[in-house]
Amino acid sequence: MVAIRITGVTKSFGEVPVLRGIDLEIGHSEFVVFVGPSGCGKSTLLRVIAGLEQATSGDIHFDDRRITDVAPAKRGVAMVFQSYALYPHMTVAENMTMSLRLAGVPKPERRRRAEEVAKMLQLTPLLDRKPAALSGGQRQRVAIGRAIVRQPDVFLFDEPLSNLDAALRVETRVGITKLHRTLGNTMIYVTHDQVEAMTMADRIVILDQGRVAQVGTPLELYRRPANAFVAGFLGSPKMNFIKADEISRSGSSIRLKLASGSDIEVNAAATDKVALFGIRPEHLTVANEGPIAGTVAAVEHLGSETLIYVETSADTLIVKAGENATTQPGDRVNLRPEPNAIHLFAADGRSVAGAPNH
Amino acid sequence: MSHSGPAGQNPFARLGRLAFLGATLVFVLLPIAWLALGSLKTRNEALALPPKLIFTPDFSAYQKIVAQGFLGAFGNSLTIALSNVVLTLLLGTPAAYALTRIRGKVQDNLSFWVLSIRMAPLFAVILPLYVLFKSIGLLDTRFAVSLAHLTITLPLAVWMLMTYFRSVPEDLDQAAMLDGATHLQILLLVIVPIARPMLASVAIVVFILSWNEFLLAFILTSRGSQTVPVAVASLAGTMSFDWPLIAAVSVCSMIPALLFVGFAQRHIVSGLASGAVK
Repeated sequence: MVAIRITGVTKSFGEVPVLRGIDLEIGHSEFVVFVGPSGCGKSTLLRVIAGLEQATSGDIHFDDRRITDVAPAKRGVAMVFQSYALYPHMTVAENMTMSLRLAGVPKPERRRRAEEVAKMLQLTPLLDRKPAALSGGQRQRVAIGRAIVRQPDVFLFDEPLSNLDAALRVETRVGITKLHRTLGNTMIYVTHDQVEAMTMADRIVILDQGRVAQVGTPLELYRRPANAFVAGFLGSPKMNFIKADEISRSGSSIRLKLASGSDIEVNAAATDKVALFGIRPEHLTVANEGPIAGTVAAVEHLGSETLIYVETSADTLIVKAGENATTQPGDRVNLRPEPNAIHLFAADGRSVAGAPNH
Repeated sequence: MSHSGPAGQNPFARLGRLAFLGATLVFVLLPIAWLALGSLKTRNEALALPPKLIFTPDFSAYQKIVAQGFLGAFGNSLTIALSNVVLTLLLGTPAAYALTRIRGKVQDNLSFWVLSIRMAPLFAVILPLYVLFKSIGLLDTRFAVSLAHLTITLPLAVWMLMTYFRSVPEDLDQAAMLDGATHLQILLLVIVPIARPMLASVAIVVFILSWNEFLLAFILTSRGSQTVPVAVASLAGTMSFDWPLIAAVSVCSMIPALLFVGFAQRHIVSGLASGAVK
């Protein structure tokens, strides 16, 4: 259970910069999720923390111990790989206790530890099988068991669920969250799946092109994205963006001309010039009157909710409506944004409006 | 073999396949059968045309193998081939592993150089090798032949193993590294057990290459450490052409190779690496 401090970490592969200066603090026993699109550097950052990659510059501390140049095995980290990386010629028990064997722990003790962890993960009947005889979910649990046996200070997960089917993914997700509560270790979890990030994390770190785009609790990030990238990345379907021009501004109210052709009055104390108007699909409603006009292009009934795709003169907007929406493709509709849920961004993508309160 | 499949459905395709297999068998087995028969004939019978198919077997050629001291050649060949297999695997495995796992310009070039040794014709290295071994007093020793064979088998083994090691996911190395394994421990505890089928294949190829190699063994040995191919060739060079003896030695020379292949083949089981990833 250590706190991790990352200061000014950069990493380049040859000429290609992958991490462009990461500063990050992770607290004791915290469950932190690194999330971002592929190529954002989240896995590389994890591997730098594990010691599998050497940082080009910068420092990493576990509590007060500088571990930047410490060998991976001596850092007190255990990692669960996306591919599981089980030793195919060893049994489940041998796989889980390889670290103990290398540390010279005698065989009976190794077996005892394996049995202990296997009980926790419901792997007891499988202890003497080889990985080839296990299902994907079982292999996943063995990989997690191997990490637990080592009793590490920090658990690292590199997209551990991406090879599982949807149902198993949800089950394992819940299992890992529970594990975190039981063990109380510091855990870092890498994923590209925002649902995993939202549901598992104490705090989410969103990475974009080798930089930290924003750090915060899932709801903070969802409600108060620091920039258009974060706003667009979290939430499904993603936030609607419409290009906007400021017409006038008076006190706490801004008048915007949207690219979709209409004017709209927004109550916000923006600090900079507004260039982008953002609204989440769940904060748009189809109404008789509204500032945004368009034609319904498609309607998707998902059961509990309905997604309505509305073509405006600028972009196609998505509206998340209730399950009983009666809108048909071809209908002319007006859309009304919920006034308190509007996000405004400057030309460089920074959020400029005060936090919406809903 | 199976009752399903395209050949099973179409009798003509099945017939064609059988005919092809039959013809191939004739090509492969006839020379060996002729050799085996020849070893059991007298010298006159062996060269008779048309060949006699029914005759009284004569084992004198096999007795001559013992009497004329050919067993020594067999001992030499076996020692040389086996030690060559051991040396090749001992040196080639870590080399191939290092070349696949340590990356950089040097490694890329090094792996090419390894193979480029094989691009030089054997004739180009024989004379330097001869001079070298003569100057360090190793001429006409089994060790010299074994070392010379290494120049052929080691690059081959390194290349075969490199191809295989590249297919072993590097996640395994890293998992072992996090478990606290050193490079050597990763190689011995993780990589080698997985690579067992490939190591067996390499051992077979190396053994056969070394067992049958003629040119280097011929140049580097005179009497004391002659190998079987050299001994056979020396039989053909004399005035009297003892065909049954040549045939008998040839037949016997196939036996150790067959035994070794049979032994090594048991390690060639597929799917050893399955279950490692995904």
